[in-house]
Amino acid sequence: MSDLLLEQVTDEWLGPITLRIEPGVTTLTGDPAPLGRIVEILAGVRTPRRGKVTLVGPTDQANAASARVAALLPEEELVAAPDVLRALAAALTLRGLELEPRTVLESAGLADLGGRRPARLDFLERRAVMLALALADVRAGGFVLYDPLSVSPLVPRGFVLDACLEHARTKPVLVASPHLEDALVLGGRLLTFARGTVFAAPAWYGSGASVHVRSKQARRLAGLLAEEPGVSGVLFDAERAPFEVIAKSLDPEMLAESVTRLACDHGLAIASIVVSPSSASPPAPQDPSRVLPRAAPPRPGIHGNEA
Amino acid sequence: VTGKTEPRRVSPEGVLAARAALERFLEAKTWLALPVGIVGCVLVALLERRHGVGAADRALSGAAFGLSLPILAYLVTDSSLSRRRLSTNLSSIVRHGGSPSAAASGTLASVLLFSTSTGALLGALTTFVARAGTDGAWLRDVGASAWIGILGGAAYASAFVFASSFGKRGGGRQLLFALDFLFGISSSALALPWPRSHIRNLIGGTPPLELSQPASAAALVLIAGLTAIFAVRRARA
Repeated sequence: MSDLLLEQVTDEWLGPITLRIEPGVTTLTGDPAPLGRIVEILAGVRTPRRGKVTLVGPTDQANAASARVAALLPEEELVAAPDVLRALAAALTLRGLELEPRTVLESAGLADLGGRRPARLDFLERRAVMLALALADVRAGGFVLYDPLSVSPLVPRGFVLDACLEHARTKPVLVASPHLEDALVLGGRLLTFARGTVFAAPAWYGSGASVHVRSKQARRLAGLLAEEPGVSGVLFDAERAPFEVIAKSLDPEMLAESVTRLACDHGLAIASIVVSPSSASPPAPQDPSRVLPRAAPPRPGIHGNEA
Repeated sequence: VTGKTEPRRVSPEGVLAARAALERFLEAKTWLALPVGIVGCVLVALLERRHGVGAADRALSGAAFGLSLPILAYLVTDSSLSRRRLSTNLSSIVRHGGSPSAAASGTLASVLLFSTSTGALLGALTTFVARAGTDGAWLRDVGASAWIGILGGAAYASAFVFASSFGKRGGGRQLLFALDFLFGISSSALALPWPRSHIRNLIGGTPPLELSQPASAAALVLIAGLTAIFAVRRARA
């Protein structure tokens, strides 16, 4: 069992993000460019301006995520070799995997690509081969996959889903996808990325009750609520609703108690609290652009909060 | 305990990176610039030979080491790195756990091999065409031009690979190319960091800051060595 841990990771488009990705499937949605950046940082191909990525497990691997994380990047490039099989063989050697390249390709239905020159593969084919390699990496401590279901014309969708769920039993599997429907297919935990910050699932995606709290210190309250163990989701939009925070929990009483306790403990003024069961009037989540506004440069605030 | 140690293995990432650099270089058709450069140097050497004394010096300082060598070294670096930043170019190896330093060493070795052999070939051939049979020392000069070409090629190759670790797309190498042309032609202190000024000194041109020829040879070795070390160290950046 291992966790992927981002600590104060800061880069272009990314505010300081502190996030722990535990075993299981976690889907991160948002704008493609920053999502791709997060995946590149987790895969170890990009060094963030600040912060670090650690694979926390039996043996911590600080900043060695590239060796232990199997990844599918937004744009893939195979190791230079005369053909795909030899490129895969080189990658398997570097990763210390004793697997047959042909088996890796065949398992993903890509046997036909084995004899092709890597430089002659198109964008989708390169990603398909690298997805097959990533999913075959049984020694990886974690998986970070950018939009893996988009290669389904080449790799069967069922194969990708089964492999993700199989790995997710004991390892963190982060699927970054700009398509919200992928998150719904994969299930698991949903995170959204907006304005340089990762948020836990917006309240209306889970079950239970949500509270809408109006406060002039909503940003501070959101940060505190995100650290509460029983809170399953916190939504704070600094631009659209700077004085409102929505928190979600399976237990409405505990949620209300948390809000009032935090307000008392930290001297936060609360204007109003409205508790509502989420099933009563869920906003339509089908249009991701409503939920996930375009990412803007990071702002000071509750960056990296997740519940 | 027998004290026997296993032979040290060449790092697979280094070999992969070297092979990748070579493959990209050949695929980009940049190698076609080599015959063009050679033909150009031979023609210039023939023209200079008709003007008598100093033909080899003029052909070397102009066409061979002044123009062809830096351009070819730049082109081979540019194509070997797929016109990208050094670290970006190595990412396909580093992401699988390969050592960035070893991979950068492989790329550097590939670029060095081409640049030094190009330098040797350009120097030897140009001197041969310009001087063959003119006096008794021409053969010695062919040899001397070859090793100056090797030193110059090594300095340019390492410096360009190091410069490729700067800029989003490795634009540092373009800046280096321009600065070498701009400042390398002078003989002031500004010329000291640039290979052009030291190569010129070695082939009998104006020395930078009145440096001796052995000092310029040492400077080229220093430029090649230091930039190679820093290129390998910055492979992750």
